[in-house]
Amino acid sequence: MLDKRRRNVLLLFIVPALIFYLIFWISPVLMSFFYGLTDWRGTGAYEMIGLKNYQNLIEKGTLFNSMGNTIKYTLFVVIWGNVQALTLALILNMKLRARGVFRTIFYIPALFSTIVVAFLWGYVYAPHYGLLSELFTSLNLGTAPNLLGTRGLSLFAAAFVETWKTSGTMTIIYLAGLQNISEEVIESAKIDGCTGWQAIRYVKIPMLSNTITVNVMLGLIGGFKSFDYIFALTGGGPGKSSSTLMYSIYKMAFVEMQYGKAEALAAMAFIFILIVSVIALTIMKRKELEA
Amino acid sequence: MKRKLLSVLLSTVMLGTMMCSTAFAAENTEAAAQTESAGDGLEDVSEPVTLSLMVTTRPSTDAKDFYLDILPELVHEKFPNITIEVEQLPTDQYKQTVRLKFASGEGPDLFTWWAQKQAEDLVTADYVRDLSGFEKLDKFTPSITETYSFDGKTYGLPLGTSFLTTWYNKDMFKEVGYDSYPTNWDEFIDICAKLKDAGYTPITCGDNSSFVIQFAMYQIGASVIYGENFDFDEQLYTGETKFTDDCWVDTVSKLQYLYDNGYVVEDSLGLSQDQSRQLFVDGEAAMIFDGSFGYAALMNEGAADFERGMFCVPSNGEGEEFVYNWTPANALFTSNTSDELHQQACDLVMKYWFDETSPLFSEWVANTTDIICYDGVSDPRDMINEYLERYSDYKNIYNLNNAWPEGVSDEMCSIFQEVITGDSIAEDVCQAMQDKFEELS
Repeated sequence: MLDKRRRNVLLLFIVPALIFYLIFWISPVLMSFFYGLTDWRGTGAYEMIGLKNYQNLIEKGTLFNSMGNTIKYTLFVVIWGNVQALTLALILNMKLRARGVFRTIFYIPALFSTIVVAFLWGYVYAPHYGLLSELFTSLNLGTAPNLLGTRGLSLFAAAFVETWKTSGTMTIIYLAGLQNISEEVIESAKIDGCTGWQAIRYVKIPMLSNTITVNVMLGLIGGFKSFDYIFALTGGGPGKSSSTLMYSIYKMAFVEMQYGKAEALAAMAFIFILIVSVIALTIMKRKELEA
Repeated sequence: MKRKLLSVLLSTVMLGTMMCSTAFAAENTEAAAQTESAGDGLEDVSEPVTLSLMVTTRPSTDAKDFYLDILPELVHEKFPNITIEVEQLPTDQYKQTVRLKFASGEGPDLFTWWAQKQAEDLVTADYVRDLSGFEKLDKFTPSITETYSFDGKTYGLPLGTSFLTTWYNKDMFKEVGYDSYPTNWDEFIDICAKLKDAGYTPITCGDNSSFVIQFAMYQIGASVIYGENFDFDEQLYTGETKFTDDCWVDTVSKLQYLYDNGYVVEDSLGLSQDQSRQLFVDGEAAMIFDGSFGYAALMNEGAADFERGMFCVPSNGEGEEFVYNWTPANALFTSNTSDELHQQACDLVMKYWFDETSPLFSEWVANTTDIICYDGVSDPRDMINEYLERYSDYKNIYNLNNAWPEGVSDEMCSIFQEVITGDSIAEDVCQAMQDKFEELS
C-alpha cells in the first residue's frame, strides 16, 4: 500500500517534466511530419499536398546531396576527432614537464564561441594573405590550397575546424579514461614483453572502450547537427558541395520560406539520424562487451 | 496680534506661490515654445504605451546607434508616455522572425522592410497599415515611394536608397591609360585586360560570401536585360519572359567571362566580403563590385593611398542603351494588427520623425548610411551625389531580386559558384533560377 502511494508521489514529480517534454519536444517532432505534407510558407493558410515535398527533395537531389555531405562530415568528425583527441590524451598522460600547462593550452579552443572560432579560421584559410597561405609561402611550398573555395575540400575544411574546437573536450574525456587504467595492468603488460605501441593497441584502447563509445557518440551528434561551421565558413558552397542536412533545412525554411518542404526534410533527417544512432550505439555496446 | 501674524504668513505664502507659479509658467512656456517648434503641437498619447520596433542588424560603431539609442531617447523625451523597445536581428533571422510574429498575432508596431515583391506577402496578409494618408508622404521621392505601393496604396515610408556599383582605383586606371570610367562593355573589358597585363589584379570579389555575386550580376543585368525590355520582371509572372531567355544567359555569360579570363582575383571563392574589401583598400586589386552601402568600409585607409571612383558596369555595347542600378533600401512599416492606442503612438512617432524641424529628423539624416530620398535633404557625400548626377539622364533599375520570390537570388548565387569552379555553365544558372522561380511563385 505504502509502496503504491510512494510510487504515485514519485510519478507526480515526473508529470511536470513529462508535460514539458511532450509539449516542447514530442509534439513539434510529430507536427513536423504533418507540416511536411503541406505547402506551408510560414504565414497564412496552407494546403495538404501529400508527398510532393518528399518527392521534390528526392527528385531534385537535395536529400541525397545533403545526406551524403552530412555522412562525410560526420565520418571526418568522428574518425579524425577521435584520433586527434586520443593521441593528445596519450601524450598529455605521459609524465611530461609542465604537463598541466599543456593540458590547459590544448583545452583553450573549447572555451571560444563558434562564431569566434569560425572568424579566426576564416583568416587562417584565406587565400593570398591567410595564415596557411603565409606558411606555404615561407616554406616555399607554392600556393596554398583554397580550402574553403574548392569543391570537395570546403566540407572537410569546415569539419576540421569543428574537430579543432572539440578536441579539448574529447581529450579531457580520454584523459579521464586513461587515468582509470591501473598502473599495475600496464606494468604487467610491460613485464610480459609489450612494446609501447602494443600496450596502447592491446591494453589501453580496449580498456578505453567505454570512453571511446562516449566520444564516438559525441562526434556523431556533433556531425549530424553540423550547421554552424558550414553557415559561417562555407555557406554550403561552393555551389551546394558543403550543404549538410541542417544547413539545407535552415536555408529552405528561413531563406526560401518553404517551411513545409523544410519540415519534410527535417522529418527524413530525424528518421535517418535515429537509425544511424541506434545502429552505432548497438555496435559500440557490443564492442564494449567484447573488450 | 495673532490675526496680524496669520495674515502676514498667508500673504507671504500667496506671494511665494504666485512668484513660483509665474516662474514655473514662464519655464513651461519656454519649454513648450521649444517643443512647439519641433513637432507642431503633437500631443502625447493619453496613457503609457510601449512600442516594439524591429530593425535589421547593422555594423556597430562606438557612436550611438540611431535605432537602438537615439530614436527611443528622443521619442521618449518628446512623448513621455511612449517608450520604444528595439529588437535587431541579422537579415535572414529578421525576415523569418517578423513574419512569424505577425503570424502569431504579435507583429512589431514599427519595423523596417524591403520593397516590391518582398513586401507583397505582408500586404496581402493585411499585416501592415496603409500609410497613403500620411501627411508627409509627398515629401518622399515618388518613384521610390511607388515601390512600396500595392493596388494604389502606400504601405512604407522610404528610409532611403542605395545603388550597386563598381568601386575603382583611379590611380591604377590612369596608369593603364584610362582617365575616366568605362562607358560600354568593350571599354570595360579593355581596362580589365590592360590592368591584368600591367600585373594588377583587375577585380576582387569575396565570393565565399555568396551574396556578393549579386553585386556584379545586377549591374551587368541592368543594361543587358532592361535596356531591351524594361517590363521583363512583370512578364516573368505572365510567362512571357523566362530566366532562360537570351538576355539572362548573356548576363551570366558576361560575368563568367570575367572569371574565365582571369580578371577576377584568383581563389575568390575562399575570400569573404570583408577580406575582399581589404584587398581593394590595400591597393591589391583595381576594382571591387560593391555598393553605396560599402562607402564607409571602402573609404577606409589601407596599405595603399589612392583616389577612389565609382561606376556602374556598362554591359551595353557601344551606342546601346545603358541602364544603371539604383534601388530602394528599405522603408518604415507599421502594423495593422496593433490596437488603437499603439497605432496612435506609431502615428506620433512617424510624424515627429519625418518633421524636418525635429531633432529626431536631424539625427536620422546625420546617422543613416542610405541615400535619403526626402525632399530638401541632400547627401553629404560628394562621390555619391556626383555618381547619381552623372547617371541621372539614364534609366535605372532596382535590385533585380526585389521582383523575385525569396530564394531565387540565393539559387542564382549558389549555382554561379559552380560556374566559378567550372562545374556548371551560364545556362545551368538560368535554368536553376527558372526552376526555383516556378517552385516559389
